[in-house]
Amino acid sequence: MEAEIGRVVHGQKDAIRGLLVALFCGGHVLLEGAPGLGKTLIARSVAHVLGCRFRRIQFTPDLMPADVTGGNIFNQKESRFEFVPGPVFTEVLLADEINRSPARTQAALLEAMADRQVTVDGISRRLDRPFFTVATQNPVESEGTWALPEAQLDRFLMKLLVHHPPREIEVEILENHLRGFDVTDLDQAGLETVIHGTELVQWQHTLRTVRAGRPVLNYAVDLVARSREHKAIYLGASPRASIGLLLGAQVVAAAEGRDFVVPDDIKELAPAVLRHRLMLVPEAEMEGNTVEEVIRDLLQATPIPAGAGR
Amino acid sequence: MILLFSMLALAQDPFRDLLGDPTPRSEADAIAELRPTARWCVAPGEQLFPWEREWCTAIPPECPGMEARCAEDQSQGCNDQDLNIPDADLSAPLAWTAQLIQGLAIAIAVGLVLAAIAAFLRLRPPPDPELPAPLPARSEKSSPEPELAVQAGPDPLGEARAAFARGEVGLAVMLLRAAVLAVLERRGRLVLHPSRTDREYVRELSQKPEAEALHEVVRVVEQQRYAGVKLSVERWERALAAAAKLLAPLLLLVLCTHATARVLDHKLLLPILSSLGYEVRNGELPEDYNDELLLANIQDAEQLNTIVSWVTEGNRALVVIPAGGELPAGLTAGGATGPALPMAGDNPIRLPQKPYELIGSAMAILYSEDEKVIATILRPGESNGMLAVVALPGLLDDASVLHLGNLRTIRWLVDAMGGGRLVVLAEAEPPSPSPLAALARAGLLPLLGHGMVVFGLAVWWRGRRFSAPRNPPEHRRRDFREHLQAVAAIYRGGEAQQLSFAAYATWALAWLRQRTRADDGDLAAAVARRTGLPTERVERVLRNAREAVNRPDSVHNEADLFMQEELWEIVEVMKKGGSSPSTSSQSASGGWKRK
Repeated sequence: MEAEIGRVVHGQKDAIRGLLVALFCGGHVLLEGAPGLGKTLIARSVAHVLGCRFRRIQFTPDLMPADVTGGNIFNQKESRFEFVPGPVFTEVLLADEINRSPARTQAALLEAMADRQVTVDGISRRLDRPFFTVATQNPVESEGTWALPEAQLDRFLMKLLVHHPPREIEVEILENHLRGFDVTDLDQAGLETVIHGTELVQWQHTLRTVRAGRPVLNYAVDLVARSREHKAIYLGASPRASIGLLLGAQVVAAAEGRDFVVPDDIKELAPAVLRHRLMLVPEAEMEGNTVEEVIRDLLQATPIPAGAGR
Repeated sequence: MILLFSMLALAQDPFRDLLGDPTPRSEADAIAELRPTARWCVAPGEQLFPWEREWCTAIPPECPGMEARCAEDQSQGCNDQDLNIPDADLSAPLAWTAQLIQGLAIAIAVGLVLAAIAAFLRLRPPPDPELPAPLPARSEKSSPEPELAVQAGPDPLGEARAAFARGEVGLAVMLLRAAVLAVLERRGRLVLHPSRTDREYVRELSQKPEAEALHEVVRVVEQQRYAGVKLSVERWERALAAAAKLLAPLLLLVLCTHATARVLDHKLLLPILSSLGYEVRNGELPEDYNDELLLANIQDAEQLNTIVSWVTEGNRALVVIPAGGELPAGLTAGGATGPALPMAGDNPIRLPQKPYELIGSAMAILYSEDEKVIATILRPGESNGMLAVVALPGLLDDASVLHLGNLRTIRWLVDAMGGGRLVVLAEAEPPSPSPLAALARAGLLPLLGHGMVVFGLAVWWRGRRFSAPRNPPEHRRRDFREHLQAVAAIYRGGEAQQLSFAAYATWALAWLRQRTRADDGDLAAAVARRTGLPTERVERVLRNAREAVNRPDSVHNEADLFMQEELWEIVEVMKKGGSSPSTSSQSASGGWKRK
């Protein structure tokens, strides 16, 4: 999948890899990057190689929760309310520029992301599986945006950063466009379906069987627990972060051909899983500390657990 | 080089102008010195007489500016050009000292500022405990892993093997890992930290020969620790073998040579050993290395015994002992070392044609063509250590051991030692008796020479720069009489104008008054009486002289020249103490010439 997506998305290997890890462990991803870096293209490419239904919601200030979830519409012919599903009823959902809508609209995704169901007028409706949300946001602009609430952020398994591509990659992108690449027509680009949604769900179940010994569990918990004790952190990571670390590490281990998790897998995923869950105290921000530095500090302060056979 | 530098510096002699010229000046020198200073060409060049113009253009070449300006007011000779430096600047050579003091002052000032900044930083109030401390920088300093605190004994592999046999697989793996990491850290290969994973250590060693062996060990550790599966014996043995390779004592190749080892051959040997997986360092070891012994020259039994004791601890060494050297006590060499073979520098050692021959506890591994043992591996007692002794003077004397023809042999010999990963090529030479030779041996001679040349050039350049603007040496100051005489001589020679006449007349009147002891009223009579000249003439000359003195800036005329000539004659007659019949007459050309 990584190679297939790489045919249309040049560079951004870390983001693609993180996105696939989240996909295979059933998590959702928040992509953060400046406009024009290919966030939407990445999400669409993932949906394309999955052969899944893809819907996109452009979050705007006037977007209403019902525009996301759908709602009951009165059918005059049959004189009754009928539920018209919103775009959330899909398999791969792109919530573009999610921070451009107020918290009320953002919260419409909470239940869908956490419980994979939507409740409208007291009736809960299950979403299809797989259900994979890719949200994007622009970190630069603050005018007319609403920062995602912590509860919403915690629903995302990972926050992936999309950086500007290096010069040679950018030249590749231009060459690709010279060859007639059209971002709106991925079929023409030759992008093929690698795995279908049903297979993905089966893989998600299979990957849960990757072994994670007690030392690894201890390490993940130690790492997250330290985030709650760190002086520079106001709000530490939740147990959902520990779970995310474990699930992601299982996928990473399997991707490397192992049937067991090692601490390296946890360490690899820690920045993506923790960066949006940690809130710095104002003093630390004034000191110039960043979340990335805090995560590095946490990783350095957390010892690798000794073997069980001691 | 130092001599050359000194000569160069002395040739410039920046201090030579500090001393005056002890030789007295002649009258001609005085005149020449005064020439450009005389207010001689006060008129613009186009108003000069031809002879004046000629004189003005004859200004000495060292005063080029005078030629254009033609001696304006207050001229001080050549010095009125850009060379006119106040007397205080005559101490220009002392600028070196002044610059040195200035530099020291700047250095002291900078040091004080830095000290003040450091003191300020130290005295800065501690951070508010309520505030979160700044995140510490990532430390690369090694800190012990808690697990590594459980140190194995002298034979960690044996203990690990025993633990595995007892079924304590976890302990066995832990001992294995701890031993390997500890050794790699001691050798400076790894920086251990509790937060670093084994795979990170492998990645750190990715370019090193130990990486594969460590990876093998790490795979076993992960299998046991994280996968929770039972280790197969085969896998365990593989890890043990890998660990054994890592833990094997280092091989030390000590080349004790007094001879001139050919660098070319030396360079050829290095890549071959490197290709074998050995890390080759040319006599340079990291400071924190503890596993090797580096001896430069095995000159005596004490040094050799040091090696033997090191080998007895389980290490391995290859030494080349000079011919006739006796084996130290504690080593048994049943075959003994072979006799010294006459080796030319290019003679290769041939490989043995037969299997190892175990002689007692020694193993002869190299034979000469006439089947004499030339290399022996010795085992001290029951130790695992190994000492390969090569008794071939040729290997030392002409550095044959480094010769290309012998590389295969050396490689084979090193392989026969087995287990080593570090080869230290320590080329040692006897200490050089001269500092220059020591510098040359250290390769610093080109650098020193370059520095000296640069310094010499700097001195030369500075010398030129300082000497040029320096004031010409001041001769002994002449007295006023000399000065006037010189001026008068110039006036006389150049047929003075009004101003020159005035200057001369000032002196002449004063001189005549002094000689005749008469005042102005009686001066003419006194002079006439002393010289025998007509009184009227003397009175007329002296009157004109006084007028010239009173009006030095008046426009001159030819009569002035005549008057000056006559005044000069009167003075000359007075000097001679008698009458002078000489007279002046106007030439046919209208000019005045001296008879």
